Amino acid sequence: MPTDSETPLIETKELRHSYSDQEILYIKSWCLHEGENQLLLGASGCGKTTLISLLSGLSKPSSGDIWVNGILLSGLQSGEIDRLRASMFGLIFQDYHLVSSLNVYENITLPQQFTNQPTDKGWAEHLLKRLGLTDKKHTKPSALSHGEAQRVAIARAAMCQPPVVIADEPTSALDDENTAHVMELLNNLCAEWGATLLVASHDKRIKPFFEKRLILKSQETSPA
Amino acid sequence: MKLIFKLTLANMLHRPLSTFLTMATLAAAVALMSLLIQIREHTAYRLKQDIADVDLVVGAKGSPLQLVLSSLLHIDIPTGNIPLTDAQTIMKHPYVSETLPLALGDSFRRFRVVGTTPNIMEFYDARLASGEIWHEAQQVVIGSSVHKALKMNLGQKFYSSHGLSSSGTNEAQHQHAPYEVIGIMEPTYSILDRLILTSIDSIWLAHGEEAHDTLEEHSEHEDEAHHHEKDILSQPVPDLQSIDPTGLEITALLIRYKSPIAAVHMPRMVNSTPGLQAAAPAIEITRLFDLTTGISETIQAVAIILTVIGGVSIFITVSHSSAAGLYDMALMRAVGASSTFTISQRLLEGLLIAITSAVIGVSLAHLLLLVLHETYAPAAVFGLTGMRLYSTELGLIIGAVLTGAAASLWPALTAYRVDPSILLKRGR
Repeated sequence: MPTDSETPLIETKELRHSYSDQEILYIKSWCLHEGENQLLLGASGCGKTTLISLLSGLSKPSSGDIWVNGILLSGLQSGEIDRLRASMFGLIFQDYHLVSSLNVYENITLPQQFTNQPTDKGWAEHLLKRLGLTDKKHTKPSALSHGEAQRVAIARAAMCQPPVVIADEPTSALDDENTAHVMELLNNLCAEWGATLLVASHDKRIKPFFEKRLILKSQETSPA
Repeated sequence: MKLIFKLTLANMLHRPLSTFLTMATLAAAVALMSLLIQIREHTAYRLKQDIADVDLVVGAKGSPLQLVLSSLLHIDIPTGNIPLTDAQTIMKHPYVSETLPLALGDSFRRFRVVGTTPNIMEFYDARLASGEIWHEAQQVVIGSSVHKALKMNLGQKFYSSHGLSSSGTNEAQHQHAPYEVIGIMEPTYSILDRLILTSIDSIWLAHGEEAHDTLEEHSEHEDEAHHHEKDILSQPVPDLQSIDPTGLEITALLIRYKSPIAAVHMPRMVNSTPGLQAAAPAIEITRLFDLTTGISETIQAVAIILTVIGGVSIFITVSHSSAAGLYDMALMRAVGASSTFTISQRLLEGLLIAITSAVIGVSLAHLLLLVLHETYAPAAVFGLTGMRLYSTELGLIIGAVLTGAAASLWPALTAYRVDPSILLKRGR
């Protein structure tokens, strides 16, 4: 395990991942510290979404190590990784990925139910109000606009107030005005409970929102 | 636990048509199986009750199966009559423990009038719900099904018809010899429920006087006929063992042996008597079942095929649900659900479909029989009320649940093996 004075929230060493014998991701070394919002910048297909899956324990890397909060993921059982993911990460996917059979409120409160926490109704209502979804509380995902669905995904990621919020391409289909709005929303929301924000995107318009950036290229990565 | 149920139900209700069709297929299979089980179990029970541990039936020569069916199950015409003299000899035989003489030939609205002795009550372990047993000619005790179907009560009089037609027509009535209901039996769940019991001499009187009437060509005055009717009703019941048997006949004699050794000697002895035949109910009923084996096996095969279709249907539904639901499972894992939770959800979906279908299927089968029993007279006569749940039906429900579990296990395990990140990339 790394021996920094301050343990990073996430750290990787010699991380490699392949699909069908073709290596699509290689990161020599990388870390994310608490409060240090970062942008993973790279073109489509360079492995951004794969990296998010690896960091959150949804996939296992072909080789290399990942530490989350100082815990080596490869040393954990499947169930332990599930619990660690639930307690550490709030994930916002590019396609929002809402559960189609549940309404907005049920989707938002799902992470707390999965982690056996009592539903914080006050916080849920606050998120709905903060994200302008109060009148959509009982609406099914199929009846939401793209913007509304994205805000539901953001609210869901914020529900457990996780230490790390990871967003995958949150601005890919937005105009400049809405891009700025979503980024401000994410930054401000994470600041409410002190979460660290990690955004994976190919959208260079959002570079100004981050002090630290990781540029992802084919099989090689370098800090920007 | 609450969450897994909530999510599973939400998932099922999200695809109502698919869920409904799967449940309908499996419920139909279970209902058919349940009907078969109920009919088979009830038939076996009724046969056991109707046979009433009778070891031998003695009657006129003819088909032994016909003799058993007509004398024990009352569903065929008798082979003929036998002299009371011969019956008395058999009744007094040392191998014989109990006997029950029967005189058949008349009916009232498709219910058979059976002339017999009062010990039929002990013979079938029957009890009176109201009234009393007959002590004079033309008095009858009716079975519970007769009471219910014909709404007959104590004191009611009726005329029987000659013949055992099941059509219920009242042709060739014994107008000179009315019967009076003086007793109503409690349900015995045997053939007794569907019979009208009277003394044997009532049958003799009805038939003897009928012949007399024919000779007289109905020349008597109405008042005289009324006195004649009173005379018949006041006849005391004779003792069959001591009565002079000359010229008298009965239809059959039911026998219980005193010892198993009788099974070797009695049939031989009876069959050597001119005009008499012996039929063993156990043998004849087995033969009857052998004849119907093909039919019941075919129906059973159809039910099994339907069950397999139901199982495949669950497999397809849960698989399809998994294909669409794999994505949901992946995203649930992404937002905090464990892999155990998502597998359990797949299994629960299959189990819920199977359990619900099984319960609906069994309930429908029972409801159908209940409705038939209440609205369709022949079904009521058969006595299958649909109110009894057989242990084999519980086995059927367990079988359906296992089918559901087996059918959903593979999709659940498939879902478990797939990398969630690939599914999330692929999308819905």
